[in-house]
Amino acid sequence: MVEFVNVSKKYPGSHYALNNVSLKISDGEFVFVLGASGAGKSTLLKLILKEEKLSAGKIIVNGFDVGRLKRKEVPYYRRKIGVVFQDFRLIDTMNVYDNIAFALRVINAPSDYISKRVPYVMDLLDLTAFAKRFPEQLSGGEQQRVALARAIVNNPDLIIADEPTGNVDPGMSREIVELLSEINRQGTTVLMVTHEHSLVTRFRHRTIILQDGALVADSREEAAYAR
Amino acid sequence: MRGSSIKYLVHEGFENIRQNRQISVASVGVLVACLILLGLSVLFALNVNAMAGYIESQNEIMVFLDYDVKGQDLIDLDEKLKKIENISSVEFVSSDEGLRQWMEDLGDDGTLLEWLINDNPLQNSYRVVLKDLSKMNDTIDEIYNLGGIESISASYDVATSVQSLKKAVSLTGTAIVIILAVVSFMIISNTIRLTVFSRSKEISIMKYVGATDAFIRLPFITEGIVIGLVSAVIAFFSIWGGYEILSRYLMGSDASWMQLVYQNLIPFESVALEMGLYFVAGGVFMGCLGSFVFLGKYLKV
Repeated sequence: MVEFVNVSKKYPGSHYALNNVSLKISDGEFVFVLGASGAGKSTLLKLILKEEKLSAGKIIVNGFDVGRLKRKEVPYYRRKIGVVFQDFRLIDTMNVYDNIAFALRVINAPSDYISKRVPYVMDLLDLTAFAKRFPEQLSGGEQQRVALARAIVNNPDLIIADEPTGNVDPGMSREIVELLSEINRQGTTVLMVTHEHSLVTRFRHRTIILQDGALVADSREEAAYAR
Repeated sequence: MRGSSIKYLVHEGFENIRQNRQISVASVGVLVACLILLGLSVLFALNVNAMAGYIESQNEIMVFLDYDVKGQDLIDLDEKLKKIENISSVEFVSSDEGLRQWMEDLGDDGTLLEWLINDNPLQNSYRVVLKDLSKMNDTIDEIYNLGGIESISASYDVATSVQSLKKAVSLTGTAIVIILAVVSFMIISNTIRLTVFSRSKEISIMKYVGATDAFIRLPFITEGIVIGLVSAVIAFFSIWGGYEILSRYLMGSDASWMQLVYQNLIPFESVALEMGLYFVAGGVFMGCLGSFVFLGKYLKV
């Protein structure tokens, strides 16, 4: 579960990137975060990942009070969150298998577990044939599938996707959101930032809209209001 | 940390070196160059000092006695001279011995002095070697105060120039070592910064998937240690080889001053262990420092 309570974030010498945002995302939900650039979407994700410190308010993720996490605890906190970026962020010098296994190796997973888990996830995302290929030998959509595999390989409770469809063609965009929806159906909470309205209308997940750092619309509350 | 993880991390360190061959080679090159320069300055300073010490040991003063110092007076003076702190050796040269040497020095013309043998005008004298040339003046005063001294001849010029040479070498030597150390540090830290920067993406991914700082650091430390060790070994053997070649050249040379330098050259073996240890320590220290200081910035994600 993700909960924002009156969260504000102000960068030094700048305006509020997020201003008094309150938000609740239950376990197993799929939420789109929509907004123009500079609306505060990236800040929202960075705060969840504890990449930035919040200026005011409180964020609870998977039972952790994010603002109070000690530096030492952050790695363990992040192990329960899978992240997917617009630019994939794969390691060019590693093949597909190693890119996925990397996420397990760096959290000290036993090697026999890695050798079972990675092929399983590759199979899930239809990547088995690409195991020995390097990122530059793959299309944008394929690279994003590898990034997705890396994000789910350590069984996260929450997946954060920052414009995952930004660098792939429209057909591939739909496929990626379908994959995310499938992962979501298995019980993982998904928070996806996007500015593609077409995806939002097509997939009909809960949508929140940020504008100038403020939460201006939340489809769930609107639905409740409509009832 | 699991054994298999440590194996993986150490392996990663070596893999990093292989994959970043260019940067690794550049780092080793820079480190080797700096270590060689440092080593050469130290060797140069040590040798100049040894040379100066040799010149010092050759620098004697002659103490000429009054004609009337004889018998018991001579024995007393002998004892008093030997008690002076700064004197390392005292050799009595009788007037006959003095004349004989004078004749010897003249070679074939020595026969010209034969008429003096029965009426020797020379005084008895002492050949005195000092321990510390910088205290020459005080020591000479001390000798005069013993009484019975007619005159003392000493080469102040040699003494002062050897002194100032020693001072200059130790000053410039220290300055050069400090400057080189600072320059090496700056160059190496830049190289390390470059290495870390070139892998900032990898580091940020590690942070996102929940790697601990120690886990991220270990491959870099491995890499730093390996690069430091390799550089230390290369620099050490380069200097050794160069030094041997130089000493062989000096040995084979006809010039007498080169022979003199050769005879007083410090054998490399006498500094090898210390230099090797310093090199390894310095190389490893530089390598580790990089992964601690410059990685810190990227670990803050």
